[in-house]
Amino acid sequence: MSDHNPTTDAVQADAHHDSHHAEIFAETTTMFGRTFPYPLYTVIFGILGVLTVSEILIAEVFTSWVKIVALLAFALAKAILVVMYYMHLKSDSKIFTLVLLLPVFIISISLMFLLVTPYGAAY
Amino acid sequence: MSDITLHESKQPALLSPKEEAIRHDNYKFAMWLYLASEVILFGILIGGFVVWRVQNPAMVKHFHEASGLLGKIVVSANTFLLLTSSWAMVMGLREIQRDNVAGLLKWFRLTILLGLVFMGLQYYEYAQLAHHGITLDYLGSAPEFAGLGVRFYSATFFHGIHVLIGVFWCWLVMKRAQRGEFSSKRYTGVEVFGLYWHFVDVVWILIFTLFYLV
Repeated sequence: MSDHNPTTDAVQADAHHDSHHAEIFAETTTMFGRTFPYPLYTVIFGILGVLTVSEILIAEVFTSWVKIVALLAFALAKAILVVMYYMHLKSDSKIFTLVLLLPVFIISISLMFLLVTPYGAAY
Repeated sequence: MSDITLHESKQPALLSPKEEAIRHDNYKFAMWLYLASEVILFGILIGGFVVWRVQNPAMVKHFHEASGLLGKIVVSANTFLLLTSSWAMVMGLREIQRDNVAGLLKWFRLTILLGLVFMGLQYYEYAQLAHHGITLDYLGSAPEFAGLGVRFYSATFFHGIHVLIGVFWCWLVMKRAQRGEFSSKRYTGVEVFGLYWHFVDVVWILIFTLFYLV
């Protein structure tokens, strides 16, 4: 059989398509050892909502550095959830992840240098 | 088969599943490259605000006091609006992946509605802040807020413009869907738009925390 049999290609593409979307099409989602009666995207939306409410409460209750660390951690968790599940980086090519992380790394390093520069320092 | 057919470039509808998958990944890669440039742009705007606010903690405290409880409610509502619009967008993508065009249109109508309400609330927030003297310096900003306006508005307005573009893009995707251009085998246009819309959501997640909560 030829390696480039169109029928074989079509079957393989369909198989990849089906396995890739099986998780998305399911009407229930298993996460944290529990099964939720909602699709994956809805469960992620619920988690994002809970994290946002938690952020608002933390901002009102805490005042010390704990507040800053917690809020940054929650924001980072929300951003990662959106990128991994809604933007599909969890299942897509790792090159896409690299394309995103490279500018994030550059900005993070630049920001750290700016933050440790004394205010009003001579240029 | 005629020569014309042999030399004609392949239309998307004529692509094999494997070729369609390659085309799909190429478009997504191009979109990720574009988003990488956006990361730098928003990184400069948000990073500029963060560096400035670390050096001016008292002014930011005044800013939070000036926006008041109503301001916090408006901004929190806007956060939930964008999160919900992201969820609606991805549910629309899920529908077209099941060949349900009507489902896609239903979810995308919600996405557009939420995006428009977000912009309306942002306009209301800007009006309230301007009332408290938080505006661009050359427009007569209150002395206690000097330097805040340009840093705050440049980032949030740039984000707002992205929401506006996203709403228009969503409408275009809906028009294409109504013409039958998308199916469970061909939904690149929907997913590429989704990448943009979710990126706008991620930017707001960061703005919400760094500008309004910390």
